[in-house]
Amino acid sequence: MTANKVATKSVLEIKNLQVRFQTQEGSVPAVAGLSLRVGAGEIVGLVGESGCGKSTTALAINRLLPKSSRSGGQILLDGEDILQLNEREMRKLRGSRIAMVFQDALAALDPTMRVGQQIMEPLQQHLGMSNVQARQRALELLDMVGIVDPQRRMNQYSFEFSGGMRQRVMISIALSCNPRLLLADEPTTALDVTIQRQILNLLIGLRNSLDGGIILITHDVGVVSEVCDSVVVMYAGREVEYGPTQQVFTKPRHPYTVGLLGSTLQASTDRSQPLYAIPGLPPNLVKLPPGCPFAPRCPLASQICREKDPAIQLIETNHGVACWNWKEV
Amino acid sequence: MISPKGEKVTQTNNLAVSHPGKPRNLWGNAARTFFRNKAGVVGFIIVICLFFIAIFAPFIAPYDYSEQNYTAILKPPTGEHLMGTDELGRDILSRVIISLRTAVLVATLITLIAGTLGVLVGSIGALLGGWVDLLLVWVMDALLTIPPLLFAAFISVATRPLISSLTTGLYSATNWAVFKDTVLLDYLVVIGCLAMVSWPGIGRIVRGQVLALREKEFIEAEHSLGASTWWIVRKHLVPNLLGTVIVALSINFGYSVLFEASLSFLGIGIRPPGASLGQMISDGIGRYRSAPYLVAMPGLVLAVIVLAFNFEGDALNDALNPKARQR
Repeated sequence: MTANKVATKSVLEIKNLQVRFQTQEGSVPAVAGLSLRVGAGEIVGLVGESGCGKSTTALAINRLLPKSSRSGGQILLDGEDILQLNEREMRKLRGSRIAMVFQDALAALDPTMRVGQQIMEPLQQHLGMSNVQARQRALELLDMVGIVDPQRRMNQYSFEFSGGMRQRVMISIALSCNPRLLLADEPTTALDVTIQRQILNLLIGLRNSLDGGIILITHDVGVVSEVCDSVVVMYAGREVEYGPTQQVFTKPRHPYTVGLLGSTLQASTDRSQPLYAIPGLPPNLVKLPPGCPFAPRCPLASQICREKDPAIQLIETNHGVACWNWKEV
Repeated sequence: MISPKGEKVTQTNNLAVSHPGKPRNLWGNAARTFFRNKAGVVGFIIVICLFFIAIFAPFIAPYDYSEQNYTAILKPPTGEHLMGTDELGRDILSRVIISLRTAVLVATLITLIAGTLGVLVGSIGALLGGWVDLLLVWVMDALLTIPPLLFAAFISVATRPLISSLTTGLYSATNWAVFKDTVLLDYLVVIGCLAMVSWPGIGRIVRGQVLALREKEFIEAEHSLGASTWWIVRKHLVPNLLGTVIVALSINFGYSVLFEASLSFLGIGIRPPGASLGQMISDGIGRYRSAPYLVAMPGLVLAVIVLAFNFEGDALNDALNPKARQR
């Protein structure tokens, strides 16, 4: 657990982000009104179940969504709204100031290119390094992420690496140009727990040395509680609760957060009972019910929940929740 | 930056043990896989021999391919004429060797043209998408619905008089001997029409492959690193596409040899005084009872070549597209 640091400067500020996809069935609000802030040296967790808009948010920050989508709101990177940038400026930004770590490192590395070459690519493209300089820097990066014998590893292909080592390579590529913001989209999901631990430690180590911030996207509540300073819980494309990790996880104020935490195994979980699961399924985003999208699955749902969508309200410093009945939670 | 001591895991790498300090090479890997396939190696050797024979044909052929020896007419294979002689007393072996030169020349040019066209059209369609892609797919599909040999025959018959009158016109205007050469005209027609029927197949394969590659996560990862589209095409798409293209071209080469022979057999491909395996078979077919070697010799050579290309193509596919083999 890490205590919530008072971040002095915000690296990324998202204000009321909206992402809609145009599909044949209609317009799908994949992200509806997400706001978050990542301070320097901070790890922010983005949790929720599949399809709740976590990865869409990451792609929106990188502006890599398909053309059939529309993004609204503001995404401020060091105060500059990147939704207003043109494609050229955006391309300069990707990989140099915003970098992404993908879930499946094997799929995210080119199988026909030596790993070293792949680390050198952004260095040469963004920083205009020469071959020799880039090679030197790539060696440093590999060493930094804990890869033994980088000299030899540079000349290998991604399929010659183990899962954890590949993820380290991915991270070293993402870090190559000293990005302000690191987007880690389920970086540990494809790994077994011991390797997960190593990668998480690597991220924590980075947080301490990086002057930028990290957004960690995951559906694993345990991972969030271990590494994130603050957390944003998403449901059906909207933010239902946010706040310092410790506070949200010890005193959750949204029934969904409670359900999410209740459905994970903990040391205190009663093993004689089946593990709790939130009943029902996430709603179809094309035809959302009026009112709170979680109401049909919510044990505390009342009349107002089915009629009006609750706005997010600040209940404590930095702790917000979108629920009519948060006091009863 | 990170205290690496606590995190570095000691790992044993079997590769490092077996080849200490020696980095792997994808092409080396592919070559090793390729040479493990016996049929592929045999095919490869035959293909190498074929090219060797084709290039040095006039020096290898024991006789002049058009020289008529009236003392040795319709002789079965002997030590003097290894494949026998035909009804004009010409040495069949020499004719086969010269025919191979024709076949290789024609097939090489067809594969070059069809390959360039196919790769360009296929990848442009897949990369641009939208109506451009739709249009190109329509064109390729439409061409593929027509049986290739029939289509080639049609083009050959339809364009020959046009090109012929064009070249005679050019000859009378310029007096250049090039335009009087009817064999050259045959080459032009055969190469043109076979390239026309071959490129859509290659185009479809390339398009499919580019579409599949475009959706790969490493391409998205490249985008997320700020790489430009052109950079991704050059550095990541082309190397990943190369295996498929090489296999497609190799198989296309074998078929081109077969199609050239087929057109020449029908009398609409390479015609005398040019030499072609198909033409030799068609010339000898009337005497298949009395002199079967007239048909058998060129026929066997043709069969061996086509088989060799198939084996080689299969082995190449296994070596260059290892994922496809595991299905």
